[in-house]
Amino acid sequence: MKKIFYLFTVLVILASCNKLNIQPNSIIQNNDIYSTPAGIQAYMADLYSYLPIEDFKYSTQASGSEGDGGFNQFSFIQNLNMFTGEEVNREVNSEGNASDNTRYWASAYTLIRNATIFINTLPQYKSNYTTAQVNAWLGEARFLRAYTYFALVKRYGGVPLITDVAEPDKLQLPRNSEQEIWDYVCNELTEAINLLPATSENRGRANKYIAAGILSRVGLYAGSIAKYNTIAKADPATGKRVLGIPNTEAVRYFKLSYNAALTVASGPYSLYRAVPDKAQNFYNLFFDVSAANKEVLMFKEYSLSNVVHSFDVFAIPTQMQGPNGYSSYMNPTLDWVELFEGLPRNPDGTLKTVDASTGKFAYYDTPADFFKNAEPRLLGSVLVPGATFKNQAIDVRRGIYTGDISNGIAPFSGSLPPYPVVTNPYPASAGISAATNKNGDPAVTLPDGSKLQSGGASGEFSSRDQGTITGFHQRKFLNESYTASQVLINGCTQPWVELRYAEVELNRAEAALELSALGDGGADYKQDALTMINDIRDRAGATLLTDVGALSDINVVRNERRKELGFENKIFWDIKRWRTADIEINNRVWFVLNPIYVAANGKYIMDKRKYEGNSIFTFNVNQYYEAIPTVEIGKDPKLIDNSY
Amino acid sequence: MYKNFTVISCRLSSCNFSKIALVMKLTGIILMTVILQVSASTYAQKITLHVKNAALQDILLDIQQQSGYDFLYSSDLLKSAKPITLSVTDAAVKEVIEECLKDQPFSYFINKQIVTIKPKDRLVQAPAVPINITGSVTDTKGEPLPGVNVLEKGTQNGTVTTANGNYSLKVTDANAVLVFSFVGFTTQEIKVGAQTAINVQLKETVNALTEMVVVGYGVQKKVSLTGAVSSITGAQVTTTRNESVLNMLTGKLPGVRVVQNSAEPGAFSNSFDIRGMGSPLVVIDGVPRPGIERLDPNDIESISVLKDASAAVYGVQAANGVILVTTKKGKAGTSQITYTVDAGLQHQSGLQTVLDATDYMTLINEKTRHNVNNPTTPLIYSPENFADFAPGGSKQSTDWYHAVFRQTAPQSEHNLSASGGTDKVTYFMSLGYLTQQGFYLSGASNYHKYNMRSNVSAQVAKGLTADLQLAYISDTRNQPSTDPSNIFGDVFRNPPIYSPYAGDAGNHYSYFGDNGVNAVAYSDPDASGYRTSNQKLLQTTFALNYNVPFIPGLKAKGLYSYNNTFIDSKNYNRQFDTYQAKPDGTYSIVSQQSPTSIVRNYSNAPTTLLQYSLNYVRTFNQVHNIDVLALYEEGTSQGDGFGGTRYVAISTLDQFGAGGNVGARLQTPSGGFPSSSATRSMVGKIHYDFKSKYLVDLGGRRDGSSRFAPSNQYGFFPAASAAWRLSEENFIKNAKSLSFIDNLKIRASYGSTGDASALNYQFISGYDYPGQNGNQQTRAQGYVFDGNYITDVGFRVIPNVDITWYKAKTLDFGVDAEFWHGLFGFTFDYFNRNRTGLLGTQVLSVPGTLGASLPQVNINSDQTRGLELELTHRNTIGKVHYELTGNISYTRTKNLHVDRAVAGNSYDNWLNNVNNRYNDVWFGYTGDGRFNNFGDIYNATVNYGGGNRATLPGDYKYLDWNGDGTINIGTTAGQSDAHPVAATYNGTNVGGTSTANPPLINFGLNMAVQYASFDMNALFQGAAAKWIAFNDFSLNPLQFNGNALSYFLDRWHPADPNANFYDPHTVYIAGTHAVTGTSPDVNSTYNIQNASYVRLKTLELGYTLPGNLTKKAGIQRLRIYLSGYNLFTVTGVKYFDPEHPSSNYTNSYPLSKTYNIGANVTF
Repeated sequence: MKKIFYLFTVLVILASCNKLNIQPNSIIQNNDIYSTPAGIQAYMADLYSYLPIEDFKYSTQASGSEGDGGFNQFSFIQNLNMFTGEEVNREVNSEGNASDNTRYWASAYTLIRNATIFINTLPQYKSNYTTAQVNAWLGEARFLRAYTYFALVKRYGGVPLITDVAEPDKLQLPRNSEQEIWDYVCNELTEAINLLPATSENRGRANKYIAAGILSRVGLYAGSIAKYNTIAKADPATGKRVLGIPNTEAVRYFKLSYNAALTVASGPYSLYRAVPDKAQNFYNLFFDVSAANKEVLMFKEYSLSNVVHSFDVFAIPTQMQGPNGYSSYMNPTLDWVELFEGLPRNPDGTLKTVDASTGKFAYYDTPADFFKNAEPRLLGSVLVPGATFKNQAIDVRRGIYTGDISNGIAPFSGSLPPYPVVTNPYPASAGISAATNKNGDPAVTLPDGSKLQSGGASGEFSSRDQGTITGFHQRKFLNESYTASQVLINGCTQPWVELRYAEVELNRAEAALELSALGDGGADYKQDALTMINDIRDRAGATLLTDVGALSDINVVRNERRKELGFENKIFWDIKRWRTADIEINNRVWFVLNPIYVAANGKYIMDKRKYEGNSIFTFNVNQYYEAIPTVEIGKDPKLIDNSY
Repeated sequence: MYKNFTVISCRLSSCNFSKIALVMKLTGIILMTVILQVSASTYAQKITLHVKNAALQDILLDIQQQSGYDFLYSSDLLKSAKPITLSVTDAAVKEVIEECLKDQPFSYFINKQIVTIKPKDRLVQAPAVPINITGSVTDTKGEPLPGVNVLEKGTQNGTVTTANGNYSLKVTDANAVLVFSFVGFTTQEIKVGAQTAINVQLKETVNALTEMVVVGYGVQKKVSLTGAVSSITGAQVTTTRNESVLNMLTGKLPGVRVVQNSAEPGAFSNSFDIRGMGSPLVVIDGVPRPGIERLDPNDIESISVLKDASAAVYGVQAANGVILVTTKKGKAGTSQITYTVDAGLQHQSGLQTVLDATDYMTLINEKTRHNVNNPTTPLIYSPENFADFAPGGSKQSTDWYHAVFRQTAPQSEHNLSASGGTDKVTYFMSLGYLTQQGFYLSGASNYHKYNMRSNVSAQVAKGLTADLQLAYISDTRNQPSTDPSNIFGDVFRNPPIYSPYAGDAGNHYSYFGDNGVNAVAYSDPDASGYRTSNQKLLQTTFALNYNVPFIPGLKAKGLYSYNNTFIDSKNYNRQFDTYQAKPDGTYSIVSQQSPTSIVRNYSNAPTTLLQYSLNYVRTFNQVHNIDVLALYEEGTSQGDGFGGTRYVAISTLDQFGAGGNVGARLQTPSGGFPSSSATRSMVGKIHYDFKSKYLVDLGGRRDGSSRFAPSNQYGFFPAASAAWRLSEENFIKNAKSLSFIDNLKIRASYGSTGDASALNYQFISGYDYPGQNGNQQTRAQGYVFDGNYITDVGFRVIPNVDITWYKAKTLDFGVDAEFWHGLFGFTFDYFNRNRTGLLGTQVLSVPGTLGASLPQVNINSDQTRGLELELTHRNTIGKVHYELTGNISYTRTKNLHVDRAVAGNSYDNWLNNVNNRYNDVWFGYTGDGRFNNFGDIYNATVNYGGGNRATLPGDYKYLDWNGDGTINIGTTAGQSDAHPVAATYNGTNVGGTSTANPPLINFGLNMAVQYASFDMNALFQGAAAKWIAFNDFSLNPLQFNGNALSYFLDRWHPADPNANFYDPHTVYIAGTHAVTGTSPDVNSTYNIQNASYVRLKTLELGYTLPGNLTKKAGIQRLRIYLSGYNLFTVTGVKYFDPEHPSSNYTNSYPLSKTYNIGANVTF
């Protein structure tokens, strides 16, 4: 019996009488977060991860089920630049309604809620920190919240303005007026400028000047809406104007923008001029995260295995494609390239591809020769045909001219205008062996007996599954340090430049010119604008403007933006706020430049023509405001839609 | 252990001596009645007895109950016994027995715990010229049978077999006939003739009346079950030979649905459920444990399935039913060693080959010309290209299928076990090894498993036994570094116009851009690396069983179990170069998997379980049988893991510690937050029956779990069931016309169970750290500050403190019957499970301006209903004994309530409101014939898009369901012409393709035949009411820039490949598939196929060598067999195996057909 008793006693001792109140280890509480700077950094990391930065991973085609509404997408080959005429790719056709599909909403309010929780909670823990620390973090949270409202208002106009932590049962809210939102954003950014320190706690985080730089962007946007927008819509229930701002507000907003830009200028920032070669310098500025780069105010950075993008996989010229396949999706249009100086031009300013004396095609030793005098900023932004990248010449060729050249080569039939609507742009009579596809391309036997594929290794081909479709590739942001095997899906980590001083200068110049045009006498705006633009043109390697007389047309500063900020997902919003998108992109088919090899003399001719895929781009007036997600309208009966 | 109960146990049942004697008389067997109790349970070794003038028979019963000693005697013999007066306290058993029997008119002997009582004088009346016969008696498995009566027919001359099953008997002469009888076995008569050695094999009578089954926390006689419980024995499991125990259950248990998804070595990819109810709880030897699929089938004693309220004793884990696996124990008085070996050859089942270069180029050209906007576009492949690949041409087509796969792959299995015991200690020990090779030519895929088990039970004190069960399973799974779906996908994608190797470079793998990565390289671990995963399962139990003295029938039990699953995996993604030929004859090199990375992950998941129980089993007045259980249980489970990635510079080094990191690529640790949970539960069970006629079971469990909010931690799950055995009623028993009825029972059960597996601490506020809902590709779980990745906190859903498990209420009506001694039997069940409190979010009603995720709430409900029928037939015709068991089950689930916003219009409501609708309705398009010629197209009354401008002969017509004259075909349901076309759609789309549920109807037919030394077992198994849809490679030729499966060659195409496809004069050749470039809508009846099938799942032929032959080699029994798995299939599914998973129809590892040869040897 004793034995039995002992044995059972041992078993009973094994019983610990489990406690059932077990907190999971991976769920932490406020105290864990707010008591240490590391905890606050982890909180900030979440806020920033939701920040609506339109980076490499921003897509216009987000499906409604994805909470981030266009942000943090994998499939970003349809970026904003595809809808402005900056670039085209073979998979984006005739879709001008880019802004209708992101449905960015719920994740904006997620960031707004979480920033507000932070603002409400941090003061309870302020005894752990200096006042400066607390202010800096409060300013940072307010900056992030304002940035997010900016992302909403530029899409939708007035949205519900929620400034406290919302409860699920008190959420059927009407929209505030558009102006209320702009004012809120401007005020919050102004507060943030006052609270934030001059230098960021970590690279990638906000500081005083970043907040000011964003305010210069916001003020310019709001001012432009006030000045150029003609759309008005009021909520009948509240009487608030949910779309549009009165014209009278324009000066106030432009001034906010101008003054914010002055604030940035008082800081340590300047244009990047680290490398003597101006093209290389312009290219490098997007990669240099060192302290030497005084131009970039705000990078968004990536880290392998943790947060990555795949830009190179899609942008890389086909001849350098990585193991995952894909290539040549980012093709700058000839329209955009033609904005730059230094290209052969006719007296009327149009692109010149023929010899003026003969009217026949001009010959170039390589396609790159066509661009030998081009503005360095263009060559820093675009890989022209024949350009050297990663020690290789970008091999782009639409075909081989096999005909007789004794009388020169006359412009091909079907050339400008009108344009055919067929996939092979060259008739048989043109004497061109046109490239078909990468794998089954016909080879041409050259006079010296050697063989040459009709198309280049990176295009262009009539089958639209490989190669460039315009003759160009994007160089800006494309990482030249990656070997072919590093060009991997989810393998790219070069940073995104969200805000740089060049934009602030352009904001300042534009705001100045608008203020000048509106008759504001606060400063010598035109001279200031001239200084800004010439600073940029000097760095770009472009010719400087001589005097303020050159600034009589607002398009001078606008085109400077297009050139300077191309491919940075900014121009889309510019042409929207200028309210010029519907005119600019009205039934547009963009132009391409086809280099054609001439078999007889081994030289190239350059043929300008419309994109043979014939994708027609259109932007309708009713796309200036994006549609409020229908699912949200369904859940909130007080939310009126954006039809107008 | 319960298996030993296959003879009548007085302790458990209402048996009484006279009735059994009567029964035995009726059978015509004259003398011996055996009351045998061979329970391995232990008893007091001291007897207390106070009787006066008592009948010997009653005293023996008392002794038997107190001591566990068993008595063998004829009831006639005992009639002559003298009454006994005795008064002893704590006397030794043997002394008491001797005291009782000493002056009786018969003799006795005690062997172990068996007391045999024999007539006294007969022993001395031996025949004058006797023949001495010796021999042994075994069961059909060759295990010796002790205690078998051996009797000379027509006399009282007899003996019983010893512990080794041996006997020796002197008979009168050569004309004597020996009768071998044993309860639970079929009696056999053998004429002595010239033999002096007679070895006999007795066949077990499968007798539903005595069969015991394992139920929740106990065992019960099958006839006294009141719930829906199915069970099979280990022997029935092993009739199917497969690497996974789950696949060995297919078709054998009514209501258990098993679908095999892959035969990849070590993948163990199965879908299985009970009655369509979701993932069931698996309890191995009384403890919930993982790894049923990895168990050695030779270790399994039995498997029971609790399908209704009988599962309620498992409370909050039991909503989807419970599977109880019991492993083997040793038997007292035996000792044997068994070796089982099995070698098999696997063949791919239903995988498709791909086109060669000529056919590939033909299809590419056709697809190019299939372009209404440019019908004369130049062909991509010229006649010169074709000439290159023609016989004698300069180029060789690559057969990627055969370059990567082999047709057969071996597998083998060994098991060595030792079992036996004495009256104090019993043991079962086994060692097993299984190895399986995969279908990659490179040998990259294989699996090895070692398993050990020791089940030992020892009587450590009077009335107290200690059990120790130790099981250890260690396996290794090797794979290529990339998933099989990638390799299979690339085999289908790699164009046959490219060689696996670039140019003459031999070992230089070729690169071909957008046409997929080189499948040969990726299936070769020497090139691309490998993946290896080790899993170790440790499952241990220590238990004490105590027969409480002074209260006969009361047992106390304490049990402690420790289990752990260790997973240790390594993924070596080796960088290697691929080469692409350039026109100038040089190669450009593209590195793959750059840089080399090594990923290691380690995790362990210990669980403990502690149990105390009191069990009281008693029969009162020989008619009231009760069995009461009270049990307390508490468990803990933990999980911890750690993993890291390292990028190494030297690609040939496959160790985590090799070299430094490449560039900024640091190892990324993950894991490190141990999880922990605990449970406390109380279980109560009462069984009562009156004469085994009216039976009632009441049970319940109070479950407490740390996974719930403190206010909601406990739940109570009661169940009740009752049965009525009509066959025990006199109006049946006494009616001659109904004498064929052996058993007829109706039963009903109702109970409550729960399920909390979906709960994820949604009642707790705070933050996840690290954040949970991100990944590197989209929004990350952090942000980069100063170039360093900072892990973020994750915002949790708004807490719902009321969240709790969902509740299931299960109702079951059943009938069990057996007629004509097994000639016909059936079990029929109707069941209905209603679930309430299923989790859902009210995301459709709360505006997004909330800025937070909504918690789940217990809001939805559904109903699963179905029928099950099992039919049995047993018979012996001459020397052929055979059994047929067929089962069929049907189950389907209907949504009752699914929370949703009010539909905007009635059409939306019809399409999307799934309330009160089966959960598997498949919306799609009905086929309406094909366009046979251009005339058909021009005369079409329905616009299939673009005014049918792009339509070609052979294209698919769809039913214009809404009659509006246009058809909008889309890959997702919701287009205006979509309507229900099939069932088993499981509500999700994978890659735009609808995936399917398991079949609604499952059936199996098992046939076992025994003739002399030959045995045969065949299992036909199948499913009906199941639909699948092809996708990707199986739906579209040239998918993803790739090659096409061979069957796409049977397509519509112009007779002249250079023709304008859209010219009405073009002559078309008809085919099964449309012109390359047109595929049917994925959700149309062209693509949705009825995946009903019947297959010969198992066929096994066995031969047992004659015992007198094998005995000379010291072998008791030797059986050899040939066996096959998935031998042939009858199905309407074209091209693929019907069990192949629908969600990933083409490029997944296939199923296999297997041919095995094996042997069982018993020493």
